[in-house]
Amino acid sequence: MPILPAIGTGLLHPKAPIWNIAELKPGEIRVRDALAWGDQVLWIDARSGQLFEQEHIPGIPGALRLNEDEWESLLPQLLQVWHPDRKVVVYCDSSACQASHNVARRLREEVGLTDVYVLHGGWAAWKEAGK
Amino acid sequence: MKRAMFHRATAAVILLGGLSSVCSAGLAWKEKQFEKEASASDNQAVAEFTFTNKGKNPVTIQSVVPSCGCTTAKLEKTTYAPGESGKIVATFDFGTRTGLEVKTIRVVTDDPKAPEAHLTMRVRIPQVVKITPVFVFWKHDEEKTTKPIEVQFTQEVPIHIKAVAMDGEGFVAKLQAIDEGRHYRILVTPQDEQARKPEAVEEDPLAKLLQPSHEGHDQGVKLTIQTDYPKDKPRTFEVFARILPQQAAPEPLTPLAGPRGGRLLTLPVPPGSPGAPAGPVQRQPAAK
Repeated sequence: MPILPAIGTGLLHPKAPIWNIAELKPGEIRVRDALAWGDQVLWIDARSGQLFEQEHIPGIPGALRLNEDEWESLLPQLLQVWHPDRKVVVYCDSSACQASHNVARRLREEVGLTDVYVLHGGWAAWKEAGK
Repeated sequence: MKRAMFHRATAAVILLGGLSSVCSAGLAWKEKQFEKEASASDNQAVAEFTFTNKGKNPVTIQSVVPSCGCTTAKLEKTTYAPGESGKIVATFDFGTRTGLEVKTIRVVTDDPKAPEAHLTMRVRIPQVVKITPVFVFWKHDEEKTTKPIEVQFTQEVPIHIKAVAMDGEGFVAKLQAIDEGRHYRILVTPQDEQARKPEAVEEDPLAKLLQPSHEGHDQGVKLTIQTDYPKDKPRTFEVFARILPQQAAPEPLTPLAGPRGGRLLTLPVPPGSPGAPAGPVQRQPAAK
């Protein structure tokens, strides 16, 4: 009997932990799995440059910035460090944010990079993981 | 009798409720959705969202927040008296985006009955050019063969490549017109050590321009494709070439973009193309 309300609370509570969000979409990777790749990961912050300038938001250490607003000016620095041995993981604010999916799609389809993933849950998931 | 009275009472409640909401309606929007099919020459879309204060009290717009840095929203003033109208002018800059783009604007007011409104711009941006691939690379131990970059223009109007400028060293690039105005091919080849020797430079005039200024720097170039479309503001597109190091670099190096000691090389445009210079031009036989 208490299981049903517990499940409902876990699913609907506004402060429910990230781990019980819906299953991964194609091309997504969870924080713990991306961290297991260690130095192989090339982190890409897809959030708007406006957020960095106005709100000085933190990001994953070592992440490169790449967003659709500044695509042409930021892409070269990514191509300079990209290597087929590395895995590209793109993130933005949270699961509700589409920017990371757009950037990942363009990296795969336009630029032709392989091993490109979107961080499931985004920056919010990274923080929840205690990083 | 009782049933009829019940129905009348229900109708009265509904009517009064409706009137009540209208009387304290606050901002009433003419349209909250904007849709547009952009043309190939467009680089932005502008939407006007007009509203009228239908309420009895002044309404102050406290913030107007677009969902993207690519969208700006302008408001002439923030407080609107009852009966007064205003508009929010939103401008969405496409940048390099193509396909269906949906941008939202969140409007926050001090009206407790309607504190927020969400405006939406749906714009379909045509793809003017298909470049495959945007980035060509060679692994350090890979044979340094020529790799092609296909440039295909997808609009009905022909679009010509006027020039291709390469910023950097270590590569030779040649431009082919497969179908003038529709399909071009850029052939990129890493320039080997042999080609850099003085005797080899004499045989290949193109290589003459690719004198390395120093050894051992990161081997990567950016090629800028200059077109003739649209006429008032012709577009350019960028592609990249790089020889990868043996190991993945842990830290970003100096950026690829911008002059790094190499000369700016402009590739010869195939003869017969609009804007093609007179004089000898190296042309590869067109092969489809």
